[in-house]
Amino acid sequence: MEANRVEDYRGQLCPMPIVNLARVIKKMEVGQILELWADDEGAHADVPAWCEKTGNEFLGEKDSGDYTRYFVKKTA
Amino acid sequence: MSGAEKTSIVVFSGDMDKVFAAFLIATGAAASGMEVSMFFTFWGLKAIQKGNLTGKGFLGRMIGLMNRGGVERIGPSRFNFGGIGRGLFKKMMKDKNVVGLSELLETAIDLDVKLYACKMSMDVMEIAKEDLIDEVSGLMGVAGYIKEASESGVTLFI
Repeated sequence: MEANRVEDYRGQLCPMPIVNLARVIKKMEVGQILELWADDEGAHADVPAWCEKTGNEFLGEKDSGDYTRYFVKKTA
Repeated sequence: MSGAEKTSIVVFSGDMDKVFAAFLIATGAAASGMEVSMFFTFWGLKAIQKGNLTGKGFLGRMIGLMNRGGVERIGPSRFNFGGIGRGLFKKMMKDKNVVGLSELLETAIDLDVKLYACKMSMDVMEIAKEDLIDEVSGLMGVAGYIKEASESGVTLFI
């Protein structure tokens, strides 16, 4: 999956990954994909929930060992 | 207005942990595209005070001294140990990379969370508008709060 932008939020805990995700998405164009790296366990639930709440598309996540890569498409 | 969903939070407590929870939910809601209003009343006013000594009369000044405000000064609701608790929690949170309360307050302001102060509590505690941080959007009474709350899908009292 080709992301337009990659953000590294490893080491950040709730609520900062979501706060930063919201900030970055705001600057992106509709249709673009953001790849987000996080090691906060809460992000497994929070990133898809944030997408559903804000009307953006959650494309999935990939396990990368000690962190997870999340893919979000800006659709709102 | 934009017709966005709303969250309104009453912050009654001036305890660090509870204020932290309030700001955490507020920033999360704002980051999720909601309009967020926070109403600071009674002890909660401490969270939006500059931290200077307040009060005019004897009792007001006593409250100002014994109950000094400022987001960097408030202690947790449990295990405060006469003031040591704040530092202990702060250290534990920092060690775990949790964002600090001051930073969370700044984030909330940055995300356009509206901060309102309860005028009646301010009068009782002898806290002046000048004692509150500049980012406070305004002073409000119960009717203003009820209007906001009745338009909100998420309402919390902390």
